[in-house]
Amino acid sequence: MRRDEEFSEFFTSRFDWARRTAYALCADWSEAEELAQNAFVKAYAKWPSIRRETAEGYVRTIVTRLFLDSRRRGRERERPVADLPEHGVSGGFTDPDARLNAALQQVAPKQRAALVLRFVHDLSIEQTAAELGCSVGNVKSQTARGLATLREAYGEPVNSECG
Amino acid sequence: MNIEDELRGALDVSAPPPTTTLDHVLKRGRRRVFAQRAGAVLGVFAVVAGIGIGATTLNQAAPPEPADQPNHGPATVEHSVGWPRVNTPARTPYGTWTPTASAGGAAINIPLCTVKAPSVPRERGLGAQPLAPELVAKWRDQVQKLVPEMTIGTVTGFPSNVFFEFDVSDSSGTGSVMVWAARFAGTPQASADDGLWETGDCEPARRLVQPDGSVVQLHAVRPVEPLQAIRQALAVYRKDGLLIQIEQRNHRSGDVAAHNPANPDVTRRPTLPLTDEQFSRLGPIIAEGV
Repeated sequence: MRRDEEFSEFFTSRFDWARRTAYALCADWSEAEELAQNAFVKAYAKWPSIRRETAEGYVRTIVTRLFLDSRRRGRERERPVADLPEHGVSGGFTDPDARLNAALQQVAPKQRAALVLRFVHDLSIEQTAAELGCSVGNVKSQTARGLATLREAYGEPVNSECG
Repeated sequence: MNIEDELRGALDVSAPPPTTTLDHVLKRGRRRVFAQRAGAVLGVFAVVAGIGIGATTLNQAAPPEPADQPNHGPATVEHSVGWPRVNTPARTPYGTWTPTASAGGAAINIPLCTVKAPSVPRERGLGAQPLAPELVAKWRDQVQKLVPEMTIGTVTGFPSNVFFEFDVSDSSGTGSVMVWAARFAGTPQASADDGLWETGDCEPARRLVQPDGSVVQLHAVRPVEPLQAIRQALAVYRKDGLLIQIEQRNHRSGDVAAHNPANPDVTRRPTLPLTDEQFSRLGPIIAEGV
């Protein structure tokens, strides 16, 4: 079927990208995998009505909204572990990526989503507003607050484009 | 490096291999498509069912038809007779008759109007016109031809061949047919007009005028008190001045004579034995003197 062929091609090329986007939001690979998978399942159901050039944005929007929904409902995923970690979650970072992700987790979910869309995906304020389903002004304020929280959580003084 | 640049590289992190396969996503996607379609179909069914239930509820909640409207006979009596009604205004009912629950008949509503006797009295009873038993036997045979699936009883004449009765039975029970005759003066048309309300109809009777001037008049279903039964009359005003009236009833022959209020033996069919259409076909046969 042409639908399956086109979707398979899209899945193969963009699933990992969607999973990494989800990871930037939730900082958990297992949850990121689930968010990305659910987004692609929804995209499959709507595939005949999705234009190929907008499919990427469609999946990204679903991933972002699924993430925000999960946080809005207070259904933070439990993270079962076999052994206790060697150190607390707030210290011991040697990997810069892990350190950035840990700092991102200190930012409120919607502010985090605004930061990921604005800077990780390099979307404009208007595009971010469209994907989050909110106003441009709301995106600006969420972004400003998110950056302030992120800087503080990151722990080291860093420059900012916003001054 | 500023914090925004740090963020721009957030996707380029080391990641575990994905565990989601294309097959798994396709399976879940197809299930979702199926569920959406099934939901849409169920939704359509729900809407249709809702409309049906709503219409039925509203229909039942609607006020009943005015009592002077047709179609108040038993459900199985079809108003399929093509004869026109006599062109005169209907009368306003003074009430509605329904059989008592113990009567065992159909739950029907019959509008009640006063019986208006003909201005020229019919010669019934002792002065009525006797009929030849052979003639009535022929009409009985005609009824048998009309409803071959029903059992037609033997003809009983009383007294002195003035009234004749015979039973008509099927699995719904036993009804009966009664025939009597009388002489009338004047034209069949005038006499039929004179007898238009004699059975207590509220709507004008249906009428067929034969080529020879004979008039056949089909009256509405009327209640029979105190039997808690129903009957319908078909009057044939023949060119030769003979009125032959045939009545079908939803009780057995002999029940009228045998009845008293304490007698529980009166049994009734839920409907009259013949439909309007079947009953009306007897009219031209009788008018032609067969």
